[in-house]
Amino acid sequence: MDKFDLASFKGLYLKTAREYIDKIEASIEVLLKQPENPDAIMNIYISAHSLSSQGTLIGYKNIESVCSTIERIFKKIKEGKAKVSKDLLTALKDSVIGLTNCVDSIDKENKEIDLSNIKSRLEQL
Amino acid sequence: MNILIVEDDVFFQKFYSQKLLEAGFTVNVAIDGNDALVKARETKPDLIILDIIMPNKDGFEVLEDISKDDELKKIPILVFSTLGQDEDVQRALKLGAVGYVNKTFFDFGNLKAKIEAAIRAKKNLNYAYN
Repeated sequence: MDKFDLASFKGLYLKTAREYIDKIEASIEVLLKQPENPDAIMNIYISAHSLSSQGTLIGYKNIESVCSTIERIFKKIKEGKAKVSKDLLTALKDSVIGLTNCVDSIDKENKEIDLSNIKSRLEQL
Repeated sequence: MNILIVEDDVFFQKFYSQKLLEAGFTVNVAIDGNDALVKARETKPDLIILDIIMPNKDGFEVLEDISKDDELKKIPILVFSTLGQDEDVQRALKLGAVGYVNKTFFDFGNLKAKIEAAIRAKKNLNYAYN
């Protein structure tokens, strides 16, 4: 694998990562009122997929790990194999807080924070 | 060579565009499946790199539309995949994609080799059909 030159792409990464997290947060609010809203489900699925893919490319394993879990959950929901629950939305809200803190930490200190508790909680749903 | 990147994620658009431009390719970007069909007709690319998971019209729908278009179906398509998308890649290959590239594992030598091989293979196939 070629070395990823993060320095020249860090600003763009931070901007797009924050936009995806905002989209997830806005879609959670929609799902609290309309748990089957297809656009909100798709928005979370695509945003989590993008955050996960970016995390893999750059090497942000904690973000990749949490977001690939969200992506898997919402793939099932999108395909009608699972439903949105209150527990899921609560866990997602906490995921948004964790992901926001993690991106802030990357911005300021160039390192991720631990998100393993959030991942475990999502996996238990 | 003229490459059309179909990718909704701005980060991946810019990253891969820059790498391909630096290597001497001409690059155009489509932001989703609908834009892909418009840009493919406008720019007549030598190859399309197509993301699968996109809003509005996903990569599978683009492959289906392209397969029905006599001009566009001559263009080789490489699918942009990620880890865990094996089933999606197989489905894309059945729909006419000639190969795939894992966009989260950046290996430019591999990408360039796949682009050149895909263009060669499609040219040979088109020649055989004609």
